[in-house]
Amino acid sequence: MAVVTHAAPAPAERPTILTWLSTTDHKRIGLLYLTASFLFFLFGGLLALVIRSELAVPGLQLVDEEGYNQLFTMHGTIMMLLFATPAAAGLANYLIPLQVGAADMVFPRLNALSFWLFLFGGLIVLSGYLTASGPADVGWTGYAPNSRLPYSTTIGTDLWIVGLALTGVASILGAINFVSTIYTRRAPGMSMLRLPVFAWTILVMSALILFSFPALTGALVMLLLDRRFGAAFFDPSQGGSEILWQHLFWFFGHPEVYIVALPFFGVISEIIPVFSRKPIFGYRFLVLATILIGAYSFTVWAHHMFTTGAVSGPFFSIATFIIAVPTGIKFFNWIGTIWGGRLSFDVPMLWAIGFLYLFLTGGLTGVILGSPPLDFALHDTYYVVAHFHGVLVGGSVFALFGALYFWFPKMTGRRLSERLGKMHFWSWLAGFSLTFFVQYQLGASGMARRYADYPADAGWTGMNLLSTAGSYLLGLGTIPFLVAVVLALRRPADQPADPWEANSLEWATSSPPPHHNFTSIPPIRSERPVFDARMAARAGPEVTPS
Amino acid sequence: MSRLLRAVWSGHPQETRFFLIIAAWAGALGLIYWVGTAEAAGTLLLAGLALASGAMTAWLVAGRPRRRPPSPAEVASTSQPEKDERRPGAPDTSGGGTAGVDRPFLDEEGRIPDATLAPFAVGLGFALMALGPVFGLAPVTLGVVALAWGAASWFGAAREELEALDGTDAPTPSRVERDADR
Repeated sequence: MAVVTHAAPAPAERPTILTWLSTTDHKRIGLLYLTASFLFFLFGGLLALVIRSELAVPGLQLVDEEGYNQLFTMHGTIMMLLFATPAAAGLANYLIPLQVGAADMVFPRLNALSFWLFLFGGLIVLSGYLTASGPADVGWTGYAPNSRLPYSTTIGTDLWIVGLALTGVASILGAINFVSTIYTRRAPGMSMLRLPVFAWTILVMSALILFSFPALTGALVMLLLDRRFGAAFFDPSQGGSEILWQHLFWFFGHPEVYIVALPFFGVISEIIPVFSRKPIFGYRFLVLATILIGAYSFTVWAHHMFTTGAVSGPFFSIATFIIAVPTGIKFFNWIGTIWGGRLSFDVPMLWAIGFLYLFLTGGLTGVILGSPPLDFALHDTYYVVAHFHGVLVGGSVFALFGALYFWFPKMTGRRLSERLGKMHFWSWLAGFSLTFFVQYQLGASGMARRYADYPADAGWTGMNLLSTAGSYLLGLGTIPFLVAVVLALRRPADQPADPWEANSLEWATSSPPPHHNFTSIPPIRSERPVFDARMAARAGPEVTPS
Repeated sequence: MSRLLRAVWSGHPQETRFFLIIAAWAGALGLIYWVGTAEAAGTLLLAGLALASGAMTAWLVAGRPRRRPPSPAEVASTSQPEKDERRPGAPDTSGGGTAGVDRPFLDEEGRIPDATLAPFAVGLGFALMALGPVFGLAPVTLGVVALAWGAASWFGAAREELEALDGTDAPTPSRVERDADR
C-alpha cells in the first residue's frame, strides 16, 4: 500500500533576528525573499499611486517634472527588478527542494548569499531617496544618453547602477542553485518528465537568467565607467553608441519579461489542476511550450527598438509573432484542464481565472505591437503602458497572489481567510480593469507616457480620472490581504499536510515542513505523486501476488 | 540518430549537453540574424552567447574524462528491472537526480549546513565594496573587512563539513564525481 508519511510538524521555535540573518534553510530564505519583495512591492505601489494622483487632472499638483521622472524610474525598477523577479525566486526557493524531494538546495550558503546581495542591492537602489538630489531619474530602462552625464547628474543614478548590478549577480547565483538542485537533487523516481510544471518553469527561468543577466550587468558596469571614469561606451561623439545600450539592455530585458512570467505560468499550472480535479492537460506540450518560450525569448529583444530605425523590422516582427504560439499552447493547456473539470472556486482558483483573463488581453495587445507600422504609431504611448501592465500585473501579480493563497497553508500551517481573499480578488480585478483598460484608448488617442502633465483640452481628463480611481481601488484592495495575513498569523497552526488535495511532492510533508523537509517520500510514478499516494491509500492495501 | 547521439554523449554530464544546446541555438540564431539583417550589434550578442556557451561546453568536455563503458557484469549488477518485471509496489528508483537520495531525512547532520553569518557578511562586504566608485575608499575598506571575515568563516565551515562527511557514506561532491567516473 502506498502511504504518504507526513513528517511531524516543525517544533514551534521562536526565531530571533539572528536566526533570520544566519539561516541557510531554503524555506526561511524563500520567506525572506517573499517578504522583502512584497515590501518593495508596497513601496512601488505607493509610488504608482502618486503617479496616478499627479495625472488625475491636468496641471502639476504634487511633484515637479524631475520628481515625476524619479517616480516612474523607481516605480518601474522596483516592480520589475526588486519585486517580480525576486518574488518568483522566493517561491522557487521555498518550493523547489520540496517539489523535487530534496532536503535543501544544492548550495545552501550560496542561496543565502543570493538573498543578501539582492536585499543590499535593492536598498542601495532605494538609498537614492536619502541623497540631496534624489533617486535615479532615467527610467527603468536607463536609456543613454538620458543616463549619461551631464543628462543625469543625480548621485541616485550611480546608486541605481551599483544596486542593480548587485541584484543581477544575486539572480545569477540563485539561478545556478536552482538549475543544480533540479538536475541533481531529484528524488528517486522523479525523472525530468515527472517534474512538476512549476519546477520546469523555474528551470527554464534559471537558464534565461544565466544567459541574459550578464548582458545587463555588463551594460551597467559600462555605464558606470562612462559616468565615473570617463569611458565612452555610449557616447557617439567619442566613438561609442547609444543604440548599443538599447541592444544590451533589451537582450536582457525581453528574456526578463519571461523570467518574470514563466514561474507564474508554473504557478497557474499547479493551481488549475487542483481546483479542476483533473491532471494538467497535455503535460508534455506544456513543458515543450515552456522550453520554446525560453528559447524564442532570445530572438525578440529588438522589437522594443523598432522606432530607432537601426534594427530589422521583418526579423523581429516575425520572431515576435512566433513567440505567441507557445504561449497560446499554454492557454489551450489551461483551458483544456478546466474543460469538463469538477471546478471549485476557492480563492487561489479565482486568482488563476483572473490571470487567464488579464494575461490574455495583455498578451494579445502585445502581438499588435509586434507589427512595426502599428508600433511606430503606438510606441511610448499609454497603449504600451496598458499592454505591459496587463502582462506583468495580470501575469505576475495575480498569479503571485494566487500562489500566496495556495501555498500559505504549507508555508505557515495556517489558511488565509476566504472572505477577505474574495474581497481582495474582486477589488483587484475591478481596479485593474478600471486603471488600465482606459489607458489603451488614451494611448491610441496619442497620450505619451513619462510626461508629468497633459493639455487640458486634449480630451483625456475623464479617462485619466477613471484610471486614477482604479489605481486607488487597487491600493485599497490590498488591505484585505494584509489583514488576512495578520489574522492568520495570530492563529495557531492547524492545517494538515495537504489541505487542498493537491498533486506535487511538497504536499506530502507537514505544514509547515520540518527543517529537513521530509521524513519519507512517497513512490514517484507520475508527475502527481501525492495524488497517486492518496488514491492508493483510498483503494486500500494492494494484493501482492505470491 | 539517437544511437549516434547516445554514443557521442555517453559519459558526459548533463550540463555539457545543456551548454552545447544553448551554444548551438545561439549560433544558429546568430547566423540567421546576420544573413537576414547584417546588423552587427545583435549578431555580436548572439555570437557572444554561442561562443561563451561553446567555451563552457569545451571546458566541461576537456576537464572531465569520459567514463569507460560499463562491463556486462556491471550492467547486470546495476541495471533496473524492466517496468513489467517489477514487483507491484516496489519503488521506482529510475530517473532521479545524479546524487542519489538527498540526505538527510531525519538525520539533519551532513548536507544541511549549520546556521552561519558568513553569507550575510560576504553579501554586506560586496555591497559596501560596490559603493566604492560612488563614495570612495571608506565603504571599500569596511567591505573588505566584512568580506574577509565572511569568506574565512564560510570556507572554514565548508572544510569542516567535508572532513566530517569523509567517514560516512553520504554523497559528497567528490564522491559523486568519483562514482560517476568509475
